[in-house]
Formats: sequence, C-alpha cells, structure tokens
Amino acid sequence: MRRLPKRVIWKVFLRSFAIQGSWNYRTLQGSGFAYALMPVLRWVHGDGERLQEAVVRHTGLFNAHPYLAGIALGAVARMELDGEDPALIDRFKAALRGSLGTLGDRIVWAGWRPACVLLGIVVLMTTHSAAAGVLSFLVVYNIGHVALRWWALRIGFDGGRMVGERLRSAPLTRWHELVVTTAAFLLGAALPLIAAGELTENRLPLRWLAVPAVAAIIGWFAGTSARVPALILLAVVTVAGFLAHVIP
Amino acid sequence: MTWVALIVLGGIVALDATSLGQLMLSRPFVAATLAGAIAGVPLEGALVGALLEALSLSILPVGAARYPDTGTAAVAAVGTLGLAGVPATATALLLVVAYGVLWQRLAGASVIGGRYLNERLVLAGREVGPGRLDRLIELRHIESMLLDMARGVAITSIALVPGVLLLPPALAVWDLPPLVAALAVSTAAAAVLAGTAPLFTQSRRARVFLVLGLAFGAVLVVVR
Repeated sequence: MRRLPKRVIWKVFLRSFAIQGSWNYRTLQGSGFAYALMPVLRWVHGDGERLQEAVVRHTGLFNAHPYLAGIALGAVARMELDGEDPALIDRFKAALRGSLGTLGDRIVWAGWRPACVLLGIVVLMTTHSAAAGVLSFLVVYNIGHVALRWWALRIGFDGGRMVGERLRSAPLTRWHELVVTTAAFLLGAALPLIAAGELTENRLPLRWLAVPAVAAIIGWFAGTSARVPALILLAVVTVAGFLAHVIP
Repeated sequence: MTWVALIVLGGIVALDATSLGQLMLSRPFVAATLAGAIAGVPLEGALVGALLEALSLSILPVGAARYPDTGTAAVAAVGTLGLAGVPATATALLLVVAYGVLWQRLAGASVIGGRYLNERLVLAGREVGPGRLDRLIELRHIESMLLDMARGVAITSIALVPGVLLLPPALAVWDLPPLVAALAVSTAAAAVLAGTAPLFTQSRRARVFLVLGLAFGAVLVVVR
C-alpha cells in the first residue's frame, strides 16, 4: 500500500479548516474541497495534465459538515493514491456527502456546540467572570472540535472507499448521548438563573419571576419557533419605551 | 485605537463564522466578550453576549440555510455600549441587544451577497480552461476569504457609527422603568433557550438530567 508523507497529511488537515472559504450556492464547498485536497493531488499526479484533470473533477458540487468533511477528504486522498477510477471517486463523494452533513449537524451543531455554549453561560452566571465563562466554552469546545477534525481525516484515510464500515463501528452515537445529556443538565441549570435576571445585572423581584418562567414553558412547547415571538416581544418593549416618552 | 481594534475584530469574527477556522470566535458570547474587553466593558460584554447567544442558540446552520450573522452584530452591539460610554443599566442592555438583533439580519443579508460573489469568482476560475487551474483555484479561494473578512470590517464599521451616536440620546428618552427592560430581556432569553430543549431531551435519561439541572439552577437562585 502506498503511503503519503506526513507533511502532505498535515497540509490537508490545516487546509481543511478553510474548506468553506469560497462557499457558494452553485458548488457549495466544491472549490474548498479541491483547495484542501490540493497537496495530495500534487503529490499523486505531479504537475502535469493529470493534475489539472483531477482539480476539475474535485471542484464540482460537494457539501458536508465542515468538521466531518475530513472523512471524505481522507477517503478520497486514499482513493487517488490507490489510483481508483475517477468515475468511482465521483460516485463515492456524491454518496458520502449527504450523510456527512446530517451526521455532523446532529452531533456538532445540535449537540456539542450548544452543550459547550451552555457550559460557558452557566460558568459566567455562577462566577461573574467574563474570562472564565468564555474560556471554559472556547477551550472545551475546541478540544472536541480539533480532535474531531483530526479523527475524521484519519478514519477517512485509513478506511478509503470502505470508510462507511469504519463509521458504523465508531462510537459517535454513544458520544452524542453523553453530550446531549450533559447539555440537558446545563440547560436546566441556566434557565432559572436567566429567568431570575442574572444576565441583566438587575435581579428580578420574586413575584415577577412567574413571567419568564411561563415564557420558558411556552418556549419549551414551541421549540425553535419560540425565537420569532420572543424577538417581537423585545421589539415591542423597545418601541413602547420611546412611545412612553412621546405620549405622557 | 479602540474603534480600529473593534473593526478588525469584526473582520476576524466574520472570517471565523464560515470561511476559516470555525473556532467559534464568531459565537455572540465570545465575539461580544472580546469586544467588551477591547472597549473596556468585559463583564457587560459577556452579559450582552450571553443574552444574544441565548436568543441565537436555536439557529442551526444546516445545509445551505440562510441565517443571521450573529458574530459581527455582537461586536457592533457591545462596541456601541463601550464606545458610547453609558452605564450598563438594564435599559442600556435592552437597547444594545435589540440593536444587535437588528444587525444580525442586515449582516446576514451581506453573507448571502458574499456567497453569490464567491460563485462568480469560483466559476470564473473553473472556466478559465487549460493552464494552471490548481493555482487559480487556490488564489480564488484565498480571495473569497479576504472578501469575507472585508465584509466583516465594513459591516462592523457601518454598525458602530449610528450605534454610538444614537445610544445616549435613545437612553435619555426611553421612559419605562428599568425593571420592564430587565423583565423583557430575561423573558425573551428564557423562552428562546427553553425552545432548544427538544434538541437535548430525546431520551428519558436526558429529561431526568434536565429536571436535575432545573433543581440545581433553582437552588442557586434561592441561595443568591
């Protein structure tokens, strides 16, 4: 089995942080994928016509969760290295992209990130230290983030076209369960503190706590659609404050 | 100097949101705290950031969804608070949070414009024909990132000027009790944050942990 030099793998890893640099509505991450894969393409195909053909192939439509795109990058790097049929590589990318998007959205955007944000907010409200709040979020989040990107690239490169089997045996679902359970606890801890006015430095009197408490219950049942009415409430109160000055 | 640092921060935050890194410097909580540190109001910045974060946590950037640009808006909101030199009362927090939410929408529109611009850049690169397409793709990619940063710089600059000019007179004519402002902000944040519960409470175990968290939070409120 041919191997890639470590420096080439590191270059792809670092470039994967910029995979969405030219995100657009036509090819989505397409040219970013080619940009991140370029060190491998140059190493495998040299500097001639074959390189230009490979670049054209890899600038086509592609989209995945940015942190898990490394799985596709690694697997495609392995396939290019093994001299697989370009048509097969294209079909492989097309088959992989949807599932990598869905998986990443679930475990990162709807799991890891909100869990870490809630951790930061709870630390802020309990310590009243801006640095402690923000650093607890940034450090914990990015340990998971960078580790996930590296794991994705490695598992892709090691698995090649068989990466799907490796993914099925990865403990992602167990990690996700642990993360969302922690997030549930942190959300529970944050809600009473926010409702009590902890974020406004203006603690609400006990009799007024019922208002945010009821809003939280309504928000719970409304789900993510609670955002628009909440923003309307903010706008109405803001405007009412100015009207109160004009209309005594 | 503070103005320049805030505007540069706006550019970095815009870049981090999608184009480069995604280290979450662009989350409102982080962007606002950094802006607060620059403008001399770190704790107030973190509080505004946490409020904007609570109001934004339910937005998920899935697929090709169009969503507000929360990072640059957070820099603009907290930069306004710090540069205007007003006390961080509940009323001031309400007004800068409202200003931040407004700018999230406007800045979000600029993100969409930037993506159409990327499309033209990238397709111009692909259609160039034979030659060093590899070099051209890399160049266009880096140009796209620089444009995104420039967008963040522009948005932050444009948002700061009216914010700093209008906040002090706005505070002078806002005539409801501060309790109303605190209540409105806390109510809105609690409602939106509670709306994220279905993301975490699919299992019975998670629901139990949510209840435990609520009890823990309630104890903290009572103890304080």
